Amino acid sequence: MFLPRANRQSDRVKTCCCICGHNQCGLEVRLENGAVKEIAGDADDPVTQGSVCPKALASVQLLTHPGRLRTPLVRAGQRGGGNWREASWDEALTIVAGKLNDCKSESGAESVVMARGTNRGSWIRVFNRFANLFGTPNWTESGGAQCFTPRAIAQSLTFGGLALEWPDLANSKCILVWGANPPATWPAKSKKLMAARKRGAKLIVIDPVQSNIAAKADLWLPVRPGSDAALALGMLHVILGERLYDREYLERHSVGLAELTARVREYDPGRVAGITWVEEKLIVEAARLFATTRPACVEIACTLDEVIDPIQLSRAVALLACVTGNIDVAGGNIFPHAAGQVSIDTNDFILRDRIPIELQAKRLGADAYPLLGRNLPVNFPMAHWPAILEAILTGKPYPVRAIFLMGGNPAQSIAKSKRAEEALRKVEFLAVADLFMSRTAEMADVVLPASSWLEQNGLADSSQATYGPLRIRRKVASVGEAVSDIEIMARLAKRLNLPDFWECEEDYLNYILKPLNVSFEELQAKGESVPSPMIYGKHLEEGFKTPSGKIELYSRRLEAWGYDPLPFYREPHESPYSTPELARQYPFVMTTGRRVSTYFHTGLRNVPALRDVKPVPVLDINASTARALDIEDGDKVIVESPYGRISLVARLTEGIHPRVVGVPHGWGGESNDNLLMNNEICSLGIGTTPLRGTLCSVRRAER
Amino acid sequence: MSPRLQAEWGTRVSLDLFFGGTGAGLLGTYLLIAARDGYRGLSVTVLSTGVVFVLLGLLLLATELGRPAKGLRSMANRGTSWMARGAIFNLALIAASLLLIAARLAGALRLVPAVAMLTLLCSGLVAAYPGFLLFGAKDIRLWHSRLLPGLMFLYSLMSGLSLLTLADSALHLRMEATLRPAALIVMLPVTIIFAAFWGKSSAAMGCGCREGLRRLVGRQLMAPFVIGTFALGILLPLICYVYAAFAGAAELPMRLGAISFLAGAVCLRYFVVKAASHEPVTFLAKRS
Amino acid sequence: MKYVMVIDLSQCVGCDTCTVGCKLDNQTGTGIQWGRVIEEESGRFPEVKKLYIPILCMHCEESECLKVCPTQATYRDPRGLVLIDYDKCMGCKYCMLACPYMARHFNQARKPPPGVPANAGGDSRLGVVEKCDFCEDRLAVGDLPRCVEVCPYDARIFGDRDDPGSRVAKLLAEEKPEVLKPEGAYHPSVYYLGAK
Repeated sequence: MFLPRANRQSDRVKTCCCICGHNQCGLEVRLENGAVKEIAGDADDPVTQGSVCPKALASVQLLTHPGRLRTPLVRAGQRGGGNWREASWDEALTIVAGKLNDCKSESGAESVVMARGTNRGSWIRVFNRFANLFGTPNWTESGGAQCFTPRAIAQSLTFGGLALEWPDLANSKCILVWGANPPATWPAKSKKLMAARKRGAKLIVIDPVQSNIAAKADLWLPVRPGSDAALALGMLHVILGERLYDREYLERHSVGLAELTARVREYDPGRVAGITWVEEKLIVEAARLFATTRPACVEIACTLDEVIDPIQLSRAVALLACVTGNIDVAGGNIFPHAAGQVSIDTNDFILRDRIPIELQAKRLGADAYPLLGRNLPVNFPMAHWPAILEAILTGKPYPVRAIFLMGGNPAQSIAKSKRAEEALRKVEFLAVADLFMSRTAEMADVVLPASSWLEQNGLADSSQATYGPLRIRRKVASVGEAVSDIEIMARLAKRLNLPDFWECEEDYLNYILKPLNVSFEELQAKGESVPSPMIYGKHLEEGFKTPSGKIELYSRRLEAWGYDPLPFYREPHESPYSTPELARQYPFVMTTGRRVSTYFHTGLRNVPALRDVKPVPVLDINASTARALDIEDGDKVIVESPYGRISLVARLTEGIHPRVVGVPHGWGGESNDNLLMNNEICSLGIGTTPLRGTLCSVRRAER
Repeated sequence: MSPRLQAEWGTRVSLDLFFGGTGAGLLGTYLLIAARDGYRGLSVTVLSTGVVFVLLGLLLLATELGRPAKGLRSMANRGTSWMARGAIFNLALIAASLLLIAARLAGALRLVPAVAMLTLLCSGLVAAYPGFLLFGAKDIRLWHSRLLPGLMFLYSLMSGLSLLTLADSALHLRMEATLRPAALIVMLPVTIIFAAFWGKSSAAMGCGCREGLRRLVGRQLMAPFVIGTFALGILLPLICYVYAAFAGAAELPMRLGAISFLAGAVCLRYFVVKAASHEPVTFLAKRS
Repeated sequence: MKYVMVIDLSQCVGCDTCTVGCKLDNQTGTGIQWGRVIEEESGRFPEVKKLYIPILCMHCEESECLKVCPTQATYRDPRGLVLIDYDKCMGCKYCMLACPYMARHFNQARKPPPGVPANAGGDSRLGVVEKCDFCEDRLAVGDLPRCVEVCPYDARIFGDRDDPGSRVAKLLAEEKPEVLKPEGAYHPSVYYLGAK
């Protein structure tokens, strides 16, 4: 009569997810006769405490999905023609290694690009090392200048570490969420945030759209996309002007207060209200609430990176935490530290300096964007994707002949997708490792099958995913011949004769665990995690990793490099104020990249349980505005920018400004928001494509 | 959360209601009129038409079912379910009608009056139950109106009477003298209850109802609704029957009125089904 | 014994983890979610109030679906759950019209997308109306319903109302949670805290 369910006496295995690299939620996988049946959060996990998301639950469908790549594939026929022949790992890797070596010897290692996708676990740093060992200065990631790097630089410059990534939510009394939506993207933090709120913590949310978390906020500031820096500076104006800052803290631990105070003088709330479209009294209220509720913390995301002046924006937001005395204190923003294992987040680990300086100087895009591409004390230098595409299409400044790509989909995820596709189709050799035949993989010469988080051992040691305790991942399934990214790199490294790499995945894991005097196998058997206590105040005592040893409200380093040492606000290069003519034709201010809990970047739309719950790409549009355009909820709409047009489904809401629209992230085909983007003008110094705060028009599609 | 139009029952169900109701109405009005003669000379054609209509209605319902084979269980919950009761009434009516036809054909004249009265009773039940069936959906305010059972019953009656008018004309049953005043007399309460039902629905019955009506009379449904249910279903028949009642030559207006009403009756049931919407599931919106 | 659920709307952020967890557990077909989260807004920009409201079968004590089901496929079990015997259902959908809470779904068994087993739910659910059953077989072995288990925010509390020591009994007595559509007097078994 009823469906048979998972046997309640099933085997249970504890592991960590890795669909996204920044949560790595501790999970319990339940098996029946050796097959994965269902997944749940592990309430005993010391870091994530039971958080889980729809993607993790639906991962059971990744194991049986008919679209999974199960063997290496070699192109048979036209590129992109869809004809493949199955090959052994040996044959496939021999082809790849042979081609990469040929390019290296004929045209120099720089003619080979090593590219990857976003953070899906520690292998991303191993990949950096792999690229450096191979000898090419041109490694890059789809995120890169768009994601993490700008704010990492800003934070490093300000207080020598990534404190904004680590709000100490459990102890915080006021949480300022800026351009982030933890319920949709960061359940491990979201759980702690909601618990803090339940205990009475105040919540301030800055977001153009009333998101999941904004719906729970005490104060929601619907900032005009692209104008966030003005808002941050306006709040600083209030805090410094009304003397709400932590004087003692700043005297002891910072430099540059006088200069900062002078800078923010011009950002009075009235002026800022006009720029940001947020009511003046709300700006003042938010600033006062954040400054006077202690301790307070800031929660951010890649939205801060995707604007025309990302470093300045992140600096401004970071300074809010600094001037209120909330850096390196319990309940504020703290510094991640490891449990004692080998740290993968260092230039030592990735062996940056294996590449001779003359060769590093040839890194594509480094001349135009030195903060991205040059060796600096505050970054992992990487190549600039638009420059790579340029090199493929024009051969300037030198040709790029081969791309080795792991876990990324640049044909879809880079602005001006058509140009990216054109280049990927044209490049002489393309090898891709992925779980599915993505848009990019379709154009490859060799495709290597990678495994999902259920099919690999690992450590949850990438900096965003762990603060303190080190957790492990256990392999509970396998699909065809797919193996983990680290294993793929190990096999390829052998054929490339790369020194200082590992024979296999287990060797790598043991290497990381060496300082803890335990092997991976022992750790698996012993227990689930390596404990590590929280640390507060270490830098307040010993000094921050900045040139002055203090929090640099005024950054001398930026000054030395030729950039403004203090944050400022500049109108986006396309906006109702900077380009009013254009705005007449494209009257909406658009924020792109809106996330939902069921998808991660360009992936997972082929997972049935997830796709059925969120079947279409949704445009957030103000209800009154929509009706005036004869658009009803659920209607198909065309969103157009000067660079392209896409098709979306309208969601009418009051939770957005009448002149703003929210475009969703990661869809392909005719709904790909990258078709609306333009990367001809990128951010000063770092090369970010501005993805938020550009202009568009909206109209209903034919019924 | 906006009200949502029901998406479960559509054209087939509305046609089922039409055929079932009209068949029952035909049998009922015919037998009522025939009672004056003690059910002598019953037309097998009329009786068979009635049975065919009722069967057609049931067939349409069966095609709507996910598992028609399980339909045999459909009489189980007669304690609370109007669908179960309806299944019983329909089967009873078909059985009684077939028995009546058999008795008539076999010439069993002593049985005919009793079976005819049984058939009459069953036809009343079949004409009445659809209104109660729809009324049973408490959350659909358009249906959960006390006027609905009466509306559906009167429409079945009038549809039956209209069909009888056409049969009378075609088969020369010579009932015209009774049909002319009867048509007008039944048409009047039909008109009144039609006005009361739609008037009350649009005025006060809950935002779900109003939303359904808004969608109903907005955009593409407005014209068919007004033309179908009002012009064809009420206005034209009224004019025809008033004219037929007081003027001399009655056959043409009677037939016109009958056809018009039948078209309107199909439309009425279609719109009652299609405009139905659930009250919104909500905490924040004002409850009406 | 009367199982009830209390949902704390102040904790629900609309993450849909419960929706997907339920879907996977019950292998529901295309377009069918036995439990899901609806969004409610009131006010005008920028004074907007928004609620995420998880809905599912309310297992009403005055159950309309039970009343109208012609075949008695829908019935109440001793634990207070309203269940469907799929063998008896003929798929007339009358119950779907009677249900005030959008909780019932017709399984037309359209061709499922790749990766989803054909005849989602096996042949037992083809052509019938299906719905949440409070995970009655999990309850039978002492586990919680799936949606309750997977919610990362502990927004759903489940238990036996008749057990005075249970969390739900205390919540019902002390917090006086609301129900949806109280004017219908359906007496649903799902209550909501923080609805204002």
